[in-house]
Amino acid sequence: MTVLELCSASRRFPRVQALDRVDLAVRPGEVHALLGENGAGKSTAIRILAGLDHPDPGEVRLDGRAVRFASRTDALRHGIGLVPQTESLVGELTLAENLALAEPHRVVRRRAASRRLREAATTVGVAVDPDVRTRDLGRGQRQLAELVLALAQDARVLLLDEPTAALGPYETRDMFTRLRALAAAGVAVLFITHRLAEVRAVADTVTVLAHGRVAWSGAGSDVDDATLIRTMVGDLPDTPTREPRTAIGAPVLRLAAVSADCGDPIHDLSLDVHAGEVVGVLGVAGNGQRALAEVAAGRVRPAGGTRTETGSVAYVPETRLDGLLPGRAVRWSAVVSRLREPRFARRGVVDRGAVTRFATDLLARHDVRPPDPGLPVLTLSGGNQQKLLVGRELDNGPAAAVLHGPTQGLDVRSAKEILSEIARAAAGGTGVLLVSADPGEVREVADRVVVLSGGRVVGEFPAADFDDALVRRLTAGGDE
Amino acid sequence: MRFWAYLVAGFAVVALVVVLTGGDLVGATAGWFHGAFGTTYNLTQTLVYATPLVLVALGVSVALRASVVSVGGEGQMIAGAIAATVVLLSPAGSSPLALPLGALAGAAGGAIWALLPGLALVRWGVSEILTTLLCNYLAAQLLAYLLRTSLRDKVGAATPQSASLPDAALLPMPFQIILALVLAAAAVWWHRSRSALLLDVFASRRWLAERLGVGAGRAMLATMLVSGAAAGLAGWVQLAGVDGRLDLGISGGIGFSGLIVAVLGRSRPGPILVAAVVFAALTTGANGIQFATGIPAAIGTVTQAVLLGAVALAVTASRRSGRSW
Ligand SMILES: Nc1ncnc2c1ncn2[C@@H]1O[C@H](COP(=O)(O)OP(=O)(O)OP(=O)(O)O)[C@@H](O)[C@H]1O
Ligand SMILES: [Mg+2]
Repeated sequence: MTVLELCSASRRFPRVQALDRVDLAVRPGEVHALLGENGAGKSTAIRILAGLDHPDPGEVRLDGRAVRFASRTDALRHGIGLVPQTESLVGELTLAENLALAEPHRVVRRRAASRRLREAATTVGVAVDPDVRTRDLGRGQRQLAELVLALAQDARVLLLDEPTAALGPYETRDMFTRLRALAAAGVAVLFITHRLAEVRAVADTVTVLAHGRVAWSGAGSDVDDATLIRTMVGDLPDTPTREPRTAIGAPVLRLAAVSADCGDPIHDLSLDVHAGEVVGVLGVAGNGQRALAEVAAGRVRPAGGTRTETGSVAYVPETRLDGLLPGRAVRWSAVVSRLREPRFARRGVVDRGAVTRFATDLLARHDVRPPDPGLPVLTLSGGNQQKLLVGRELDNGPAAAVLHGPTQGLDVRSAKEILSEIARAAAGGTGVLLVSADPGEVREVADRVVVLSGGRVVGEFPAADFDDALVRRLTAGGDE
Repeated sequence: MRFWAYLVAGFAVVALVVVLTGGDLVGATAGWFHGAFGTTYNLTQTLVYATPLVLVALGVSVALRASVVSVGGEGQMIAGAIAATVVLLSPAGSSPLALPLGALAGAAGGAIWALLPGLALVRWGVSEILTTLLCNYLAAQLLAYLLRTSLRDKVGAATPQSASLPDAALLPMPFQIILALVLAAAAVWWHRSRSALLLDVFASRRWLAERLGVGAGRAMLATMLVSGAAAGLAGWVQLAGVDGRLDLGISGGIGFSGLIVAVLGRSRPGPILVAAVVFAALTTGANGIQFATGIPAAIGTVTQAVLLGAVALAVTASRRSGRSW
């Protein structure tokens, strides 16, 4: 018995066949994982199911009948809730106001909306305050907020586009517990992820997309990890063996007793990043990561304390579109931090040819697909936007780099490549501050780890001493 | 493409109105064309009216690139015209340098009038839309005051107006059009320049621009001053090229119309030239329509309004579909 399905759905974009005769069905009581490399067509499939796009040709069926949703709101009216990859909340409004906005009433019923959201949040067991401006929430929190928003509107199908990309293992596990409970209550869940561990933890059914086609589909228990990876991205490069970095130099970025407030404040925080060193920052989301990253990158002036930099500071913000020029052609996002270089202008006039050549080369070197500098950024898949951003920032051998969740939304292969790129940058003398929700990647690439809790550094240890139990204890994030 | 579809639709709406009210469409079109371009005199009138529109619109287009919306064209024109009058009624007005001095004074006057809203925006983040609008009223009051007091024509006229400018200060006919063309050419170059691109970056991702050394204060203030100077220059053109003296009607709504022209021309110099001529022709040609068919000349204003609506729709539509450049 299926509730929502794609039947032989295709979707062509100017440069690519995003979907090619895809069949995909979600059933009540089932958690279905949708996998595939960056650009495989996952988001396109989910957007079609949620009424944001239409198959051409092909069909969407709801309860066995062909439907054509006029919009996302229309689909929601049929019980189909979406958490999109690119957030859709109005940042200036609170979550309650966002809900009121989505409802058909002409009068904004803030109080009622707030109450329903609190109820929904309790059902999924997430702590989301419906009455703060959503702009002030971290990225992971904003995605949870969208989930709560869908539930508050009685969704019986949940379409989740990488809901865990910005979450750490503890928050992810909590969320999965609740998703299982929802499924047990008859909700159908389809979610996209790049992490196989998550598939194992929660999914009943798995579908792998590759180049817009279904490459594998069936029960999760029928397939092993190696097969899944091979179907998704082919053979993986070997993990480069880690050489301990010897050439750790002078500090390139110093924070001395800084305080700042960007939704989740930091207090009196001191931290040095040295040349050639990767400092990993761990902690449960919402404990000051964003404030730390924004201050370290120099984008937010600290309210107290001092920040010193010795050279250029690269920055990958947590929300990738923040660092790109969305809606404009990719070439401009590729070149944007280097526009001052003489080669990009002739007698004051921008040299489009030079920009395009530079961008083409950058896209090729960082494996951004499709490698066409003329495409609008927003038409790139999420993972390819991320590759573009990280690639651009690390491209120029910066003195320091602040990377907030740099592998978010990347497939296994690309994530590995970005981690090697970070390691290469450090070997070349860049001092890296890696703020991450993922202890695994911090362990893989960091030399030193600091643990953030309540906006303060509560622990610091060399990566050699890395120990999950230690981190858990320090962050008080585990609830066992 | 879509843009032109909306424009054509706009004209179609007007045509429909004319036909539905029993008007003679062919006659009206012919009358309009004659009124706007038919004789050398009419053509000249149209171009003369288009010139200050072009200047104001070019200035607005510069500010728009930094996402600064200046609606202060009226006030800045007045301020420019006042400054130019003061200079040109002094002995400098009879010197051989009267033309450049007048132009300079006009631009400076407009820039000064933009300085206040600019500072308020940069310092305290006060919306420039509000302050530039307020400054329009201030300028109008100042003009009325000066025309009744220190700038008043001593030789008897009952209407509040200044003395006539000396002949050396008057801008002979083709010059203003050449000036508009030269400035448009400069604007073409500027819109393709690196500084313009940096302003784009500033408008959409401020931190990226700041990393490139584009300070928020400087970017916004500079574009405000440029747009003010352009409007002030338009004030001088109107003063020295059309009216020959300062009076209450010196700006005549051109400051606002220039904004509309900037939107019609989508902030690009070439289309702005075309839009300004079309817009001016709607005013000058309207009398021709009335003359030929009896349809009231107000049809020109109606058409301008419909076109603005069509363009606003086109711009919104292209925003939604995500534009690339
Ligand atoms: N609006 C669009 N215009 C043109 N191409 C598009 C558009 N939307 C998506 N594409 C292309 O379709 C392909 C599939 O994109 P999609 O976003 O579905 O990938 P995905 O599987 O979600 O990838 P990721 O894991 O990176 O999020 C990509 O090649 C993308 O560039
Ligand atoms: Mg996607």
